[in-house]
Amino acid sequence: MVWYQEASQGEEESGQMNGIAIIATTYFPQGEDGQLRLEAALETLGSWAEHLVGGIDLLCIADDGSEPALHSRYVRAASEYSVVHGMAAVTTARRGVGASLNAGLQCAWGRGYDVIGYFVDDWALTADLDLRDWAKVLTEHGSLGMIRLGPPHPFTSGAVELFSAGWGLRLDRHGFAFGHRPALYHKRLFDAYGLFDEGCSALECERLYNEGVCADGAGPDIILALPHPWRHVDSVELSAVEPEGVLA
Amino acid sequence: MKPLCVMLLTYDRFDYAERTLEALRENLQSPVPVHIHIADDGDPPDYRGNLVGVAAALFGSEAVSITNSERRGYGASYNLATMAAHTISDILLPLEDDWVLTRPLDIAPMIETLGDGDIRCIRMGYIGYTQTLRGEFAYRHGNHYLLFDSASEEPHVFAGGPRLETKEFEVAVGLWPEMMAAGATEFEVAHRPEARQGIAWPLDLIAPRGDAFAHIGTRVVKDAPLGQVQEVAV
Repeated sequence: MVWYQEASQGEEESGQMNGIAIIATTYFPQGEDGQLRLEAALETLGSWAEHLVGGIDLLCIADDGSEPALHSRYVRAASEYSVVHGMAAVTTARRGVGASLNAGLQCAWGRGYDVIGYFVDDWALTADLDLRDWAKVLTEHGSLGMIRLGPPHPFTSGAVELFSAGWGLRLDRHGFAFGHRPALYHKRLFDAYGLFDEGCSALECERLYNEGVCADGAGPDIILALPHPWRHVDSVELSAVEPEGVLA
Repeated sequence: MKPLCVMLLTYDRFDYAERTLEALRENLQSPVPVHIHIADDGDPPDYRGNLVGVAAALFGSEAVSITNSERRGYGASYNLATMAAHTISDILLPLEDDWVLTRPLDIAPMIETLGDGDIRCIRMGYIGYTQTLRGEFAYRHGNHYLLFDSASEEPHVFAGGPRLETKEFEVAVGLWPEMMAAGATEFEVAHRPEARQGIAWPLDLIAPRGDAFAHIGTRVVKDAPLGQVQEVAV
């Protein structure tokens, strides 16, 4: 395994190109909530290791200021999976999930990855999934910026389209066309719509980014892959928690 | 408790029909009893008798009925079958004789969803399109559905493959055209506004590629000559 720590401090490059980096955002607060959240995250991590066909080229753990011992347990657990071929860790010290994601993106881009998976730490994979199939679609279709792999939000709509990886729905720009559920991102998404807002709750971060996508009729489209073998792991809900850190 | 009524549409493909019934018995998991109505379009008496025997052996003799549209075509066979089936059940599963259920399928959540009223027909074959087919996600009784947009350019919002539908839906769509080949019949029905409303795909239960029912019909009978229109007793 290739190991990286604190990508923002500029460690060695992975040398891997054309693979898929996966960003796992984490936040384990002190106390019982943190313990429960860690248990859920370990369960989901195990499901990724079990079901991701081909393993994980780079797992970038983007933590938002967890209790250090809990964070260490998560990192150690991830490092023990043989299917995780490379790891990196970045921290954003309570600046919110948007900041964590942005740091994770910079970490992955810095190592040459254009296709990046965002796997939220409480979404478990329930069946085998070969990300390379959908990554190929994302790479080859210049009109696409993101392929959602998780369940849809109600009332989102779109047009059915058959890709080499399977069926998808090219989403209309209303409702939650964009969502912080498991997905593959291409760099062109961020070239068009920018990075995530920082210093706000996860819900607000998601809402603001979706607003940007829906308001822009010309940027790359979002596909929702059908079906979506994920299960939300019930745990302590932190999505509405406001971060504490000072914006950079 | 009213049963689910499976309407098996068949003509001149005994081997397919037998296999379809056997697979249904093996894999269909229904919360209500299953009634088999055989919609035959003019096969010889021994064909019909033998098929009733197969269905009775699998589902029980009390749970089998049959109509014969005497070569008036696919639409006539469907029309005659619905006249009988609507006296038996409020939930129907039209099934052509060459769609084999290849894995266990629990239809309880779909029947529950049909009970809500807004979704009236749940497709179970596969999603295909030649023109833009639009849809909106809906969540019903623990499962995601893709509710097809009736205004889609795609002609087949409704499709003739295996499907669960309500009696009200079939009544609203009305009688199917008779003395036409199966494909043309389906195409005409699919264009009716009533046949494009409340059509859904069960995303969490069946993959859009069609991983439940397999279409085994390599032998096509749709071009077999149709007979003269006759009065047929139900």
